[in-house]
This record gives sequence, C-alpha cells and structure tokens, in this order.
Amino acid sequence: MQLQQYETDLESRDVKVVVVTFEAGFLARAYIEDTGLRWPLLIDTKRELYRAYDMLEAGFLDIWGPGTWWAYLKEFAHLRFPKKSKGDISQRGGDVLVDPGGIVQLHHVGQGPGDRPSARSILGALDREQRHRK
Amino acid sequence: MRSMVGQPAVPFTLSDIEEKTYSLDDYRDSWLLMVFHRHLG
Repeated sequence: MQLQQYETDLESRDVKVVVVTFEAGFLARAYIEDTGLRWPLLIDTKRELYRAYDMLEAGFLDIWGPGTWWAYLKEFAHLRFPKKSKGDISQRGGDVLVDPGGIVQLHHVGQGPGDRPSARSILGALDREQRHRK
Repeated sequence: MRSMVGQPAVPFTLSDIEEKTYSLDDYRDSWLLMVFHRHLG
C-alpha cells in the first residue's frame, strides 16, 4: 500500500491509521505478512462500515473502465504487476479522514480500482486543516 | 454519491485478526485516517 511509505509523515502529524477490509482469515493474515502492515487491519465482513460510508458495489465500467487501465499502465511503468484477484473485485474502497472532534474532513469513495487519493493529497488536506486550526 | 464531509464519523467496533477490538472512541482527540480496502487477495 502506497500510504505505508508515508508512515513517518502521518505520525509526525499525529494521525492514527486503520485499514479496513471485508476479507478475513487467510487473506487478511497473508496481506499483513506480505505488506509488513503495522497499522491495525480491521475486519468488516458484514461491510456495515463500508455501507455507512457509501462504499457500495462498483459497476462493470467502474471496474474495467479507462481509469483502471490507466492505473494499471502506471503500475506496469514502475515494473509492478498486480496479481490476479481471488477476492470480490466489485467492492469499492475509499478513504475517510476524521478530525479530533470526530468530524469527517475527507471522504473519498473510489469509483474504480485506480481511483484513490494520493498520499500527498491526503497529507496536503491534513496540513491545510491543521494550519487552519492553529 | 453523498459526501459525508462535515458530518460526525460513523461509530464502529471492529476486530483485527487477533480478535483485538477497536472502536471509534479509541481515537477520540486524534486524527484518524481510515483506509478501506477493495480486496486483499
């Protein structure tokens, strides 16, 4: 996960991170081992939290549209080759940033596999909010 | 798709693979970034 490269930047901004997945068991354990994930991996098999943040099923064109192929091309350019998925590829992902008062400050629902805010844009949003509060 | 910016975060209580429980209240007074994965495998 790209965001893991920015762990220090997030820590320095006093941001806690949790990763949410709907998959449990072997896949979750293997993911932690493969990625060296140090943040909590929270299991939401009923996908209630996904639904609460409007992260529903993606349609065919969301999954296989131009944005996905563009994202894959960028990965290939860096000699990174995504593995064929064994999971439910229709589930949308996303990112939610909550401030210390419990209010949502960023809510991004991915339209397809390649649609995620970059780590830099998340850090930028954080910096703007944190500056605004000083 | 509705934006939830400016709204209270949705309370949750979820466990990790070691059955350790985490809830939104654990992160009160902190910034919290929740990364929702599409699929792992």
